[in-house]
Amino acid sequence: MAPLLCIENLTKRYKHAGHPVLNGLSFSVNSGEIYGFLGPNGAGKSTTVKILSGLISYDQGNISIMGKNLTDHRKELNKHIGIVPQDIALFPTLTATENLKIFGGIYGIENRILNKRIAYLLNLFGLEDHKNKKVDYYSGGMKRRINLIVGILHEPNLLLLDEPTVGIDVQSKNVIIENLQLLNSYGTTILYTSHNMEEAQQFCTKVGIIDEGKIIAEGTPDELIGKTADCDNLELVYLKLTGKKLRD
Amino acid sequence: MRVLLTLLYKDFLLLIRDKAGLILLFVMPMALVLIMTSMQDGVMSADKNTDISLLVLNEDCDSIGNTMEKELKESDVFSTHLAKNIGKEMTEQKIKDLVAKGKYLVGIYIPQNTTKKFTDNFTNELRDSFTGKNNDSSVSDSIFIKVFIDPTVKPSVQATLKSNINEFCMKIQNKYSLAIISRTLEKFSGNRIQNLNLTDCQGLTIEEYNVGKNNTKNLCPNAVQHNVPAWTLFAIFFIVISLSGNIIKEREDGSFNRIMTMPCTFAHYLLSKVLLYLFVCILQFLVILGMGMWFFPLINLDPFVIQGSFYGLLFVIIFAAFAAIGFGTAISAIATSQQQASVFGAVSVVILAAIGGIWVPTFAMPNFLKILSNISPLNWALDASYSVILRKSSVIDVLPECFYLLSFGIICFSIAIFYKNLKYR
Repeated sequence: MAPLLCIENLTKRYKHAGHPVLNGLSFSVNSGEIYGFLGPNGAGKSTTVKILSGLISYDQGNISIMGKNLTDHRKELNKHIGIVPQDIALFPTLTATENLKIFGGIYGIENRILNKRIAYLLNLFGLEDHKNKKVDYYSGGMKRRINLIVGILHEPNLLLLDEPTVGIDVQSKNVIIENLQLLNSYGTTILYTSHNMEEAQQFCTKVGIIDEGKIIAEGTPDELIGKTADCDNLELVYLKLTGKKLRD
Repeated sequence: MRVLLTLLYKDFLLLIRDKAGLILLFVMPMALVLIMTSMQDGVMSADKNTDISLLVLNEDCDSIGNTMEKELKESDVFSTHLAKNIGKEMTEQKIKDLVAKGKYLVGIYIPQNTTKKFTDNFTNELRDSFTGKNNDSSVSDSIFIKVFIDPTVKPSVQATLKSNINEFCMKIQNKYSLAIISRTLEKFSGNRIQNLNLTDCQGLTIEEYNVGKNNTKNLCPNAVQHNVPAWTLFAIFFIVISLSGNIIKEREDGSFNRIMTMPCTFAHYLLSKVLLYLFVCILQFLVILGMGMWFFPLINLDPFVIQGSFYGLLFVIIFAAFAAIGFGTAISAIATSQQQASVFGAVSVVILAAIGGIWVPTFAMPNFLKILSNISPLNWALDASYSVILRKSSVIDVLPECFYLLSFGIICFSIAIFYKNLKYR
């Protein structure tokens, strides 16, 4: 079976930067997987997500999603990709419902279907009672949940999650992870970046560790733990592979 | 189409939730039009009652003095007070002091025997002309009607006052000169001659015509005709603060990037901004226009009248709005923060407005500023507006200015796209 996402020899060098941030990055994500894309700060995770989102260009390499070249079919593929950025990307002066109607409308979802999905997702993420409140007045956890709903509103085939649970309480984190697993069970493939190794170990079906712009280890969490000596969890594997030296 | 409509809905919601922005877009220009028009109304309209307080002391108490008192009293230009009605004993020095203290803007002192001296002088001069004699001894002293003006009055207003008072004096002098000539002619001819009255004859009369289409720089609009289009254009260009602020806010809160990851192009995004702010600009124009047409007459200001076509003016406004929206978009692309955009936007618009003739019409500017005004898009738009309002120009006549505005807008949008692509790399 062809992978849903395939990245080959991806290279990216920022202007005025000494080293390339992506240096021949190659990995693939199969349909239905939850791929944990892990790495220290500056390793190239966010750059990869930005390239996949279409926010920045890349210098060399090839990216295909659902068997189609991303550069050639950007407009078409955007409809099948859901993005949940690390920072909250919403209109703070608008209500949750207004935000969702706007983002859903841009995805071209028919009004009748959109209204149903908004009601379903707000209920699923425990935001039904706050749907007419301005996002500005939401707590951090509520904002994260709305931020996630925007990314899954159009039922994407591939969901890019850039640290979706950073800075929120355990309850909100639990709701997000549970619902992402539910979404995955319906067939959505997830590319997930995080610094939370415990969460990645529990949540991901496959993990790729990136450092200095290329994948240095890949496999299921159990495989990686099993083949790394003296390590009984993903965090120790990660530290052994990437070192304890500060990166920023 | 669905994407564009959704973006329009989003921009509309963001705009109406921004109360401070709405005040800036609508209330501020309305207040500016009202204040500036009221302030400039007296200065720019020669035929308006400017309420210049004037005190007259008539010590002549004869024909010339009395006529002068009467004419000044009936004048629309001055609010005339007669010294004899004040109740205190007035002298030349007292009048001078009252004007110096600012109690009156102008004081006029008509000395004793003005009528007698004028009659004697003129009669003798006339008799000498008829008889061919030159009798210097028969001429009495010169007559001085003294005019005192408050030193705080601006030189331009002083000049207007002097001109008005001179006109009064000449009128009265002519009237009495003609009466003396009539009497002298009667004496020489032996026939009964009625007093000559030039006011009834077909003398030299100045007829003014406002000629349209050409020579834009010599047009002198009144306060209403100047301020309504001028401050409408200022308001239109002031949207750069709201527009650039909104764009940068979306960039800062990440929603712009999120939209760009969706099936939406930058062209969609810009088009939505253009359409919404074009609507805002047209609404600003209609509100200020309505104010000029219907509210101004209620507060004793001239009504705003468009000599040419309303659609011609609307055409100019649409192009001015396009230029303003482009300018705001370019500022938002270059600026790195909302503060930077609002400061740069406000200062640049104020400078462009100042040199563009929004505050002071370009015809009243020094030459070098007149030349400099040609680089301001506000000046192109204002010139085109004047053409429609005062010169009955058609849409075709204002096409050159509209072309400049369109080009300015296109250049600004190109800058915004260039900067966006730069960030994409």
